[in-house]
Amino acid sequence: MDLGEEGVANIVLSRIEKSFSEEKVLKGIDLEVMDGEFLTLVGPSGCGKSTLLRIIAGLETQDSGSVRIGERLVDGVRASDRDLAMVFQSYALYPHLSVRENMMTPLRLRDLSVAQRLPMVGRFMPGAAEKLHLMSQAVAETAEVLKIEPLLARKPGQLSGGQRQRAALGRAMVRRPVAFLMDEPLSNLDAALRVHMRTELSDLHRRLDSTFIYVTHDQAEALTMSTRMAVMMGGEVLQLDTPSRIYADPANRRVAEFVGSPKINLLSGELDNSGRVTLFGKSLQRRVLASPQEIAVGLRPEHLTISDIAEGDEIVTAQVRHFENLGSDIYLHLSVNDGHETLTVRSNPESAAHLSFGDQVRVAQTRGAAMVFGRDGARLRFEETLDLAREVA
Amino acid sequence: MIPAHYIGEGWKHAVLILGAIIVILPFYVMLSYSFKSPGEIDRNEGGFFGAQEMMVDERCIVVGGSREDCTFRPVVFNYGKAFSEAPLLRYLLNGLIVTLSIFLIQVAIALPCAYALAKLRFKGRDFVFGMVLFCLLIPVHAIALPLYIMLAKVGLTNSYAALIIPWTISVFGIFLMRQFFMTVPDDLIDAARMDGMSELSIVWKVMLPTAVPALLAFAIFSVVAHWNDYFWPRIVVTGNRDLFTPPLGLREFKGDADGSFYGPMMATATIIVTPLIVAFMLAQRRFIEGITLSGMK
Repeated sequence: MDLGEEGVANIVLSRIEKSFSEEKVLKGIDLEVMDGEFLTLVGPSGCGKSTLLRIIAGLETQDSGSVRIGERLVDGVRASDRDLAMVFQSYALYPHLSVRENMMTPLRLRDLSVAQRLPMVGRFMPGAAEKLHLMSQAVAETAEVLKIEPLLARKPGQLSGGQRQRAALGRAMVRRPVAFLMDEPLSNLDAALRVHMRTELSDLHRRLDSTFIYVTHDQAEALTMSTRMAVMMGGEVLQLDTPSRIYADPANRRVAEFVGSPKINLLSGELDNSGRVTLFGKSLQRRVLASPQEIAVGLRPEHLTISDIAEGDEIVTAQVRHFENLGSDIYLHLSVNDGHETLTVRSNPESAAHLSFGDQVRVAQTRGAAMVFGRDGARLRFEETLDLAREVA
Repeated sequence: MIPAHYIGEGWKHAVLILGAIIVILPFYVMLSYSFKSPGEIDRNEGGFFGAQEMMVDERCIVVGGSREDCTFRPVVFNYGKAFSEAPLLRYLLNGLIVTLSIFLIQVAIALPCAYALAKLRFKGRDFVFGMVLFCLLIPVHAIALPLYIMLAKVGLTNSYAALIIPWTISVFGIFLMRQFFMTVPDDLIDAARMDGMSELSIVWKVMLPTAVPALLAFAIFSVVAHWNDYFWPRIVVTGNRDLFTPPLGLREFKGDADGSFYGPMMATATIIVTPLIVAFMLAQRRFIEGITLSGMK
């Protein structure tokens, strides 16, 4: 299938549902993956992201709903006929075949006729020599891109984790698929290699200019690589947007908690009749349009400062409990109200140098950074932002 | 003074050596008798190899051979008789045909079954697997008679088919391969599906190559069992000596009241067990690998 002429090959999922025995794993997923984008499905384990990917791949059948690739409805189409390639967490290379043969396999199965695939005699069938030549050319080109030429003759057992990863990518790439599906491909690598491979995958995505659908439980991978990311929980897509907007403007409390490391600080507050938000006995300047209720105010560690050090709206006094030193930053873990609540504050090493365990510090917040979440976890917007949104709309 | 743990070690070795002697003794006797003359066997002398003095075969003379023609070295006599008294080569060939056919058909059936039981989701899978386990409990001898009657009704007794068909479905094989396939990661199968393999080619092109150690273990179990089987061939092969398997060949030497045929009989036995022992020696390491099912990771 050549989609070059048809142009866009968006992958459109509509109302996908799936249950395993009694448990509903996917609850009506609607999702459109744009041609050429790097879309990440991210969520905690058991959120249904892998199942969704497997449904797109055709390895799993949905109970209801449909999958469309470009113009084609692919429900009931075999996995191999969907023109997709998949990279697995365990790489899933054929252990008895060399890297070259591993990469040849999908091409042989797609391009050669049954007679041409026969052992021994297949290569002498009419047309086979030419096809084989093209195929080995494709393998060589891909190997060059991935810099795995020296490994082509080796078996997977003789490769390191990173090399296997590349070989698995190579097997996916030789087919020149409409889209690449990746199921936690970096999870089996050690930390340093994982960070390095993020850059390589982004780079590869740019060069191939192809659609990537990437499943991970690691929000850092999602933030660093994606064009857009879909945060999934409990079988639903909670929010689908660019990484920066998901981080800065989460749609609800669960998204806010999942994305960002260290986690966002969620502090309990009050909302009164007039829409005033009270936090630690002090009210915020902006007002929220919602009925009075208990709320949670979200403040990311980088939006808090120790007010002895920097400017900001002072909100509370807290006690230093723990220093988490990352070299470039120090995260201060503070306890408030005698340990009933905790706060994480990002600080630079120089300014935190004079602090020690048990010190009382005054914490201030960056103005305009607070996010308010209602009792049900939904984001409650401040008035100005609402007005702004209306104007833009 | 000998340290206590040396004594413990000594005991262990003594027990093991005793066990080894008990196991090896029959082989020793078999091999030794196959070298000796009837007289030496009777009188129980001559050590392991016997004196290898020229001996005269009385029967040969009775039949009318000259004295020179009927004089042999005992080892030549025994092994010569083994091949001349009964068509041993024919029996060996039969054994080869039967055991190989059984093994190949067993694999052809067990692998797809094991794959389905290990990796495919379908209704009643657990029940089917339960039945497989149940069948492991049934001794062959319990169903030998019905099997024989069925084969007799369709007129298949005294044929290779009778020797082969009852063994083609090996529940042990299905069980063993299923256990092995359980250790193969699902991703590998999904990758093969993405590459465009059909379920059957997954069995033969992905599962089979990864399962070689387990398959080898199964091969030894299967081949040894059916090469050595005396019970079943004895039942379904009646009369037609062309179909005799090697163990049936041993019968050719029974009932000689004078006992002088122990030599050729033991020579035959030696010839029969040699292929298996050689095969085991060659495959020993992989055989044990397969039994421990040290899967691929």
